Formats: sequence, structure tokens, C-alpha cells
Amino acid sequence: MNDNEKSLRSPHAQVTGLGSAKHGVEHWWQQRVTAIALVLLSLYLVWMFVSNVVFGGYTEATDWLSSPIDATLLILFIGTAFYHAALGIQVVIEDYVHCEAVKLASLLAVKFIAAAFGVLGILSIIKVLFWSVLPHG
Amino acid sequence: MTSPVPAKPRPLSPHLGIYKPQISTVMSILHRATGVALGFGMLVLTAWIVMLAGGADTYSYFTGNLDYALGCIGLVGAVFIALWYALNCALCGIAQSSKTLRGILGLLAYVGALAIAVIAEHVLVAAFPEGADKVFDYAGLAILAGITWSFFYHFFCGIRHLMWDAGWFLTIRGMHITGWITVLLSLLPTLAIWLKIEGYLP
Repeated sequence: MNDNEKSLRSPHAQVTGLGSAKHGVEHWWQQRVTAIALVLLSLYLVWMFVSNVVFGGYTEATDWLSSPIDATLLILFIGTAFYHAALGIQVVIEDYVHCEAVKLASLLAVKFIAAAFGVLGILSIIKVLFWSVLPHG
Repeated sequence: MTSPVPAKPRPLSPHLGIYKPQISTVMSILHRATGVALGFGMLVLTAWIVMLAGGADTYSYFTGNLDYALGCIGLVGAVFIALWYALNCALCGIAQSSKTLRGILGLLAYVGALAIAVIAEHVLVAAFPEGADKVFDYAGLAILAGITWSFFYHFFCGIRHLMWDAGWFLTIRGMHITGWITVLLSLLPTLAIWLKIEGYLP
């Protein structure tokens, strides 16, 4: 065990073998890619959301989302924002939650909630879009 | 504790609490805090689009009760987290020796705190229905205003971080200037939107 004298890692860290999963750069890069996408999407969508939803009623909101272009942009926003949020909250949990069981459970919960709510939001946008064009009773 | 003491004791940095708050550190933690707040905001946004897809009646029920529901969830949630933290500290303190016992007590603290917070809400609403209405409505408005500001802060501060990633304004002076610009830019649209909602702007 001559390594102990050379390595900067403690003997305990060497025995447990835990450490970098080698996915750090990918995580960091995806956080930036989604951030840039969200800046571009937000510039348009926040303006439309405020004018059609905050200062509008049911008719204005459904009219807005009956445009395939706006529905597409909102779907892209929901998917990207939930992905960006899951990446960010993951880092917050890893930094502040020290109990291993609670940390693991929280990390799983964040991923599951982001995926479930993302799909729910996207399906609802599609429903609003088709509600306006398909015949219904 | 089972982890052995490392061969050489590691140096410890001074505790966070002794530092004077500075624009660099305060804006950094606010970027995180607003990010987490926007995570909850995304759940509200999902609720909005689900309710919109539910039809006109569902949607008007949603918009009519959003303030109250958000305020209720926010206040009960805050009480729950505070109680959970306090109970966790108190219970785990008496079980230093056993990891299993600590785990069971931790679960008990979680369930107990949740039960106390929900029961307290029910009792207070039954005792003071009108007061609770008002408190929850205002708390809900405060949460929505908080999400609005969180968005604009995280948006502009995020652009600031992206510019730093590109190597721009990466100086003490650049950090100060872009910092105050970010604070200003985050407040302006938030104020404009909420003054208009409350009827102070045409």
C-alpha cells in the first residue's frame, strides 16, 4: 500500500472506491445548452404568456395555443425547462443533503417528478391544440 | 461515526456565517434559490396547462382558487419543513449510537411534522374560516409574485453566468456592474406586471 503516501485521497476514500462518475462535463454542458435554449424560448413565450394568459381569460389562452407554432414552442419550453430544472436541483441536493438514503430518494424523486409533469404538460398542450381543430360534442 | 480519521487532518475553512454578505455571494445563492423556486413554478405552470385542457369550467375554477390553494400549500409546506427540521434534530440527538434507530426516528419526524402541519391547517380553517381565506389568498399572491421575480432574476442572472462562461465581464468590476444591472432588470418587469395586475397601471 505504497499508494497511500503518494495519493491525495484518504485511505478510506481509496477503500470505498467512490468518486467521480466521469459524467460531470456532460452534466455541466447540458445545463448550458438548455439554458441557451430557454433564453431564446422565454423571450417570446413570456411575452405571449403575460399578454394572453395573465391578462386574458379562457378564450385568449386557448386561442393562443391553437396555433401549431406557439404550441410547438411551449412544448419545447416545457421539456427543456423540466430537464434544466432536474439538472439544477440535482446539484443542489448533492451539495446540501448529506444523509445518503435521503439524498438517493430525493434524486430519484426529482427525476421522476420532472419526467411525469413534463409529459403531463406536453400532452395537455396537444389536447388544447387539437380541441380547437377536431370536431367534438 | 464509522469513517476513520484521515492520515493528515484536513484544513477547515471558516464557517460561512462569519462572512459579510457581498453582492457576489448573495447573488450566487439567490440564483440557486430562484432556480429551486422556479422548479415549483414549473409544477404550477403544468397545473395551469392541465386545467386549461380541462375546459372552460375547470379553467375558471382553477383561476378562481389558485391564490388560495397556493397560499395554503405554501404555508402548510413551510410549517411542515420547519417542524420536520426541528423534530429531526431533537429526535436524532437522543439516538446517537444506533443508525437504525436514527432512521426510524427520522421517518417518524417526517410523518409527525406532516400530520401536525395538516391538522393545524384544518383546525385553523374550521376556527377562523374568513381569516384563513384572507391569509391564504395573500400568501398565494406573494408566492406568485415571488415566482415572477424568480423568473426574471434567474433569466438575467443566467445570461450573466453564460457571459462569464464565454469569458466576458470576468473581473471584480465586471461582476459588480453586471450584478447591479441584473438586480435592476429583474425588478422592472416584475413591478410592471404586478402593478398592472393590481390595477395601478393602464
